[in-house]
Amino acid sequence: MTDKEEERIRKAVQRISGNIGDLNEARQLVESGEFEKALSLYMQSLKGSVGGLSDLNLKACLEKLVQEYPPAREAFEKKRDQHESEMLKGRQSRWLIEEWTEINKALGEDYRELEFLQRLQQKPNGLDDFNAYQTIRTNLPKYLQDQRYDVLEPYLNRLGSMFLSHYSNYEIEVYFPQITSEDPTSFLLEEVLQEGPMIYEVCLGLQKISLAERIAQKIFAVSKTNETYRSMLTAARRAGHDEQIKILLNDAKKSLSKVEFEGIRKDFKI
Amino acid sequence: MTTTDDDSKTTVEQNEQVADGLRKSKDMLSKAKALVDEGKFEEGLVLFTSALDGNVGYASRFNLRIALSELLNKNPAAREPLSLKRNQMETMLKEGPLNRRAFEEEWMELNFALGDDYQEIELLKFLHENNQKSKHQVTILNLIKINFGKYLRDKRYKILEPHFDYLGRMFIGYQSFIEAQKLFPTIDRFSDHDDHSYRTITEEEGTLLFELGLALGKIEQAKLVARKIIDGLGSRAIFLKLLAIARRINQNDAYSFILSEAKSNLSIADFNILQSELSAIN
Repeated sequence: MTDKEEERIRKAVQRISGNIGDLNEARQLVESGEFEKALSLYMQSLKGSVGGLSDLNLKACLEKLVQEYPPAREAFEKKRDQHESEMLKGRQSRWLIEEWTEINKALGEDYRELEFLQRLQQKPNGLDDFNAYQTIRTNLPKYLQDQRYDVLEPYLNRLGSMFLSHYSNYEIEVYFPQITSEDPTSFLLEEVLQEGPMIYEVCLGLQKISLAERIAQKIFAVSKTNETYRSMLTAARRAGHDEQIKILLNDAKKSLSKVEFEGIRKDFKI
Repeated sequence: MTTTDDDSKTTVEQNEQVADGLRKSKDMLSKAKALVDEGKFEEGLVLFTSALDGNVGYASRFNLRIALSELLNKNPAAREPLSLKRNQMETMLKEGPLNRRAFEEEWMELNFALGDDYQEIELLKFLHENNQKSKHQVTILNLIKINFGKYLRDKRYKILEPHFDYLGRMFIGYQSFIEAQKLFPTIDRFSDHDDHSYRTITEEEGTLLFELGLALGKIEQAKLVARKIIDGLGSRAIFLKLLAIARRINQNDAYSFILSEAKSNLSIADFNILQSELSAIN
């Protein structure tokens, strides 16, 4: 590494640490009710370099500030617009996108990502595949809760292929493991079982029944537990597919214990 | 990234040098082949050894392995100098980093002509023992794949054992990519040509891997490979091929598994024909 590169990295670390420090302070100011000061600090430090995955609980703090101190809404809307204009100029940092998502959530604008994504993808250097997937994936539970399958249609292929890729990673680690210090299979299985029923529901909601059945087949090839059947039934019920519910119940009857199966019937009022 | 005129000039010059080297090597190889055809073996040999400098590779239109084999058949004295040339190339490969595919392919062609089909396994072993595995891992494993059929025909299963997981990971990853492109396409349309390559790779590499898994006693892995082959191809012919392999390796568990898959996937008529075909090969 050259001296110039080292210096650039050192400055970046310093900048990010400084931002994290400011954001921590802003959080404490929100907690102690000093909203004006907190807002001012947030406006200075949200520069797209920290992201939403840190332990700063950004969304909850911003949300509280918006609720308790109404001028914060307009300020955060401006900040959000600034982040969007950076992205339109071609900046695609993961941290910037995560911060932008957190601000949208705090403002209660969960659908803004989808609309913006469509605008961005019309540009020649639109959002790359991974960032587009991450952005949609973050809000997927909310879109499903609202049964907004229509808005997900343009992203179905991306969601489906990412699920198959995660599924394949799990299969590979189980059957052809690499020697590593940590066994990744439980994490990968969790990912498959969390993501799979959601993709199954999107397919059902968009009337892509054979695709939904392929996804279901994969999920049940790796897990036939009470919990998995419940997730899949919740998905099929929300998507309004009685035929799929019947298929799932028939299968559950064969795979689960009598007590588990009766528990499902009772809870799902079937 | 911005480039200056000087940078572009350098790149153009480099490309021209490579193209020039390739032209010269091909000319020399053509002349060498012609000399061998005329019976001028010694002159042919000299030209061959000077032309093999990493510019041609096996993928060229020049059928190197056949030309070298012909030279060795007609003039057995060529064996020693060609072995020497191979060893020189191998030393360079061991010293690395030398990732020029063509260079490695020429070394492979020499091995083939000399009948030393296990040389790449030896090189891989050396790289592994000397912690240099990563230098050539992918390329050498690709070369192993070329000779995969031969190793299995020779029943040299154990020699492939250290590479089984890697080959399995590659195969399953490829199958998953194709499945995703068929069900949820994110790149250009899956063309007829892509489908043809997919079917060839699945049948050829898949059945070899299935055989290797069974022979090494890795039954669950072999069954997974078989499931992928069946999902992708699922014809009566492929079931027959898998069943014949399982029978040859004496793996009854895998045999019953494939038979039961055939029963659920094929029509009754096709399944009955399959059973007659199986009786015929008994």
